[in-house]
Amino acid sequence: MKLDNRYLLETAEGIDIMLTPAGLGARTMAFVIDMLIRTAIYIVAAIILSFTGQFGLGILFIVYFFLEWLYPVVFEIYNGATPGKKTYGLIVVYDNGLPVTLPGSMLRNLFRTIDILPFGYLAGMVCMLFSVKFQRIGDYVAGTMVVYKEPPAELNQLNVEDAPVQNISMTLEEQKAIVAFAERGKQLSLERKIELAEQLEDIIGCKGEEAVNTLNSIASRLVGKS
Amino acid sequence: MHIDQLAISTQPRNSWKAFDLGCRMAFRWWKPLYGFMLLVTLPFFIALNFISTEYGMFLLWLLKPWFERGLLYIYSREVFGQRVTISETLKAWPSQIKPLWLASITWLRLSPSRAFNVPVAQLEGLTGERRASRLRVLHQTNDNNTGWWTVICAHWEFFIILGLVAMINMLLPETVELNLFDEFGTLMTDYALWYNTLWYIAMVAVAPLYVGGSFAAYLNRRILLEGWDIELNFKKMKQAASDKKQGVVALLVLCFLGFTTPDTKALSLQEEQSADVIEENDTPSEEEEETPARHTEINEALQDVFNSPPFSEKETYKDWRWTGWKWEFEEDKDKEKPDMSGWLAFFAMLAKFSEVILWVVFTLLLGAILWLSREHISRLLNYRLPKRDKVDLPSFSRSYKKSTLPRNIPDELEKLLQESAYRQALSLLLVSSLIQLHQKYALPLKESMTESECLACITEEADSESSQFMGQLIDTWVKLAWAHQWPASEQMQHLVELWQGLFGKVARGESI
Repeated sequence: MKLDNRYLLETAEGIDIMLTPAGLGARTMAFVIDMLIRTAIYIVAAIILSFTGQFGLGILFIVYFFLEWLYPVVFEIYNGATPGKKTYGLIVVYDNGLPVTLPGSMLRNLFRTIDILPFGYLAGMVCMLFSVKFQRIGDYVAGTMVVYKEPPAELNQLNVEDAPVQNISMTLEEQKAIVAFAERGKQLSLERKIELAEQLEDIIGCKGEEAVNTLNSIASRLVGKS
Repeated sequence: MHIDQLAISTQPRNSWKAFDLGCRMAFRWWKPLYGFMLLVTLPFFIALNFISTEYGMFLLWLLKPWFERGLLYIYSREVFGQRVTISETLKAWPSQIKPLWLASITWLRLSPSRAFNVPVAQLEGLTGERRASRLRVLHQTNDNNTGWWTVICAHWEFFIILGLVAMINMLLPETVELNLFDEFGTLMTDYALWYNTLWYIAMVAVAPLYVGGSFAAYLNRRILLEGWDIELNFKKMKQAASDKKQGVVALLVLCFLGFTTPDTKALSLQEEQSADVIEENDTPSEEEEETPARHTEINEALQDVFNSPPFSEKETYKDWRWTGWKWEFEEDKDKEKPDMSGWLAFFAMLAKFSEVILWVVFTLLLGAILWLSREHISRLLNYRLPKRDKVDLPSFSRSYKKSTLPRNIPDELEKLLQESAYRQALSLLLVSSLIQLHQKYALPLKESMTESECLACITEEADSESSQFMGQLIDTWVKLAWAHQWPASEQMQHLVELWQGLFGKVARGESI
C-alpha cells in the first residue's frame, strides 16, 4: 500500500471516491485569513460603536460573540467553507462525503473551545496530525472533515499534427496515462518526453520525436479532439 | 533512483497537499526520524545548555540544518522503499552534511525555502551555477508555497512552546504561586533551563514534519516536471504488453510439448499443464457436437446465475407501499379444519353474526358520512344540488317559522289584529313577506342579518313598492321590539292592507 494523503471513500452504491483531507499547512493558512477577516470586522464595528458609549460596548460584545461562534457556521452551511478555506480550495464535508449541515457545522465549531486548549489550537493540531482524515477534535465529534475541493477537470487544447492512426486496446488507467502525457507536455522537457515515449516503443512501434507525436495523437483521439 | 519502488503514490498534487503528504511520511517513518533526531540533538542540547543557558539554544537553532540533513537522508531512502536504521543514518550523517556545510548554517540559514532547496545539494549533488539553475526550475511555478511552509512550521514550533507552558500552568496546584506566562514575558533567568527544554521538545517535534513536508513538495515538483506518474504507468503498460506476448509464446510451446514428447520424466510438469491446455482447447468442440444437452445445461447454469446476487437482488422495505392487485389468497389446503363443536360452535356463530352486524354498521356509517358531506361532494363534482325553498330567515323575525305559518294568513292577521296581538301580527307579516320576497327576488338573506341590513338588502334587490312597504313594516317592528312603542291600530290596519295589496293575492288560500 503506497503512502498517500488521499482517503478512499466507498459509497453505498459501491462507487469509490477519493477525498483529499486537508492538513496542517492549508488549514493553518485558512485559519489565519479567517482570523484577519474577523479582526477587521471587529475593529470596524468597534470604531463605529465607539460613538455610542456604554450601549455601543454592549453591542460590541454581542458582535464579538456572534463573530466568534457563528461566522464559521454561517459560511460553512451556505458556502461549504469560510472565506479563508475557500481561498485555499477547501470545503467542509461530513466524513461520508456529504455537504455539511447545521448540526455538524455547529458542533465542530463549538468544539473549537476544546481544540484551542491548552493554547493556540495545540490540541486540535496534535489530534489532526494523528488522524487519518486530518480531523481535529471537533471534526471527530461532529463526524466532519475538511477536504480539498477538486476543481473540475479541464481538457487542455492538444495541438497535434496528424500521425498515423494506431489501434491499441488500452485499459482506463493506460488511457489516462497517455492523456496526462499529452496534457502535461508543456511542463516536460523534450528530452524527457522522448525518454517517456520510448518506454512504449514496443507498443507504438516508433522512436524519438515520432513516438511523442504518436502518443499525442492517440491522446487527442482519446479525448475526442481529432 | 528507481521510480517503481516509490513508497508514495505519485499523482501530481498542489504544494499544500504535498505538505500533508510530508506529515503522513513523518508519521509513517517516525521511529528512525524521531530516534535519530533525539539521539543527535540531545548531546548538543545538553552541552550547549551547559555552556550557556542564555545563548546555547540559539546555537542549537543555528545548527538545526545539519540535523535536518540526517532526517532528509532517512526520508530519501524510505521514500524509495529502502529501510534505514538509526545507526546507518548516523554513519552516513557526516557525508550528508558535507555539501554546503558552512553555507547551510550561515547565509542559507534564513532562506525561507531552505528545506526545499537542500535536496538539490544533498541528494542531487549539484553545486554552483548548476544548483542555482536547478533551483530556478524547481521554483518556477505559481504554486510555490515552500516559504509559507517554513513560516507555518516556525509558528507551530512557537505555539507548541506556548501550549506546553499553558498546560503546565493549568496543571500547577493553586497553592503554587507561579504564572509561567509572566515569567516568560520577563525572558527568564531562573526558569531559563525549563524554557530551553520546552523549546527543544518543540524543535524535535516539528523538525521531521518540516523536512518531510518540504521534501514531499520537492518530490512533487519533480513528479510534475519529469512525469514520474506517467513513467510508472508507461512501464506498467510495457510490462503488460510483454507479458501478453510471453504468455502467447508459452502457450504455443506448451501445446507443442504436450503433443510431441509425453514420455520424458523431466517434462512431467509441463505435461500436466499442457494437458490442461489441451482440455481447455477441446471443450469448445465438444460443445458443438452435443448441442441439445449442452443447451439445457447452459440454460440451467444461466438461471442459477440470474438467481444469484448481482442479478436478483432481494430488498426489504419496511414502509407501506402498493404492490399491485392481489386478491387471491393461497389457502393452506393441507391444514385440517379446526374442530367446531360445543362452545366453539357458539362462538363461531357469534362471529358470523357480528360480522354481518359490523358490515351493516360500516355501510350505514359510510352512507351517513356521504350524506353529511353531500354539499362538499357536490362542490367537488361541480354539481348544484336542487335548491330547496328554505329561507334563511334573519333571526330577528323568529317568532314564526315557516312550518308553523298558518294556512290562511289574511284570516290569521285579522284575528290577531282583533286580539291586539300586534307582536305576533307584525312577526307574521315580516316572515310571510320575507318569504314571498325571497321567492320572487332570491334575496341573499342570512340568519345573522340585522333589521337595517335586511332592509338594505331588500331595497337593493326588490321593486320600490315592496321595499317601501318593508321599510314601514320593519320600522314599526323595530319600534315595537326594541323601543316598546305600541303601534296605533290604524297603523297596523294600514300595514295589513298594504300587505294584502302586495302579497295577499298570492297568499290567500295558498300555502306558501
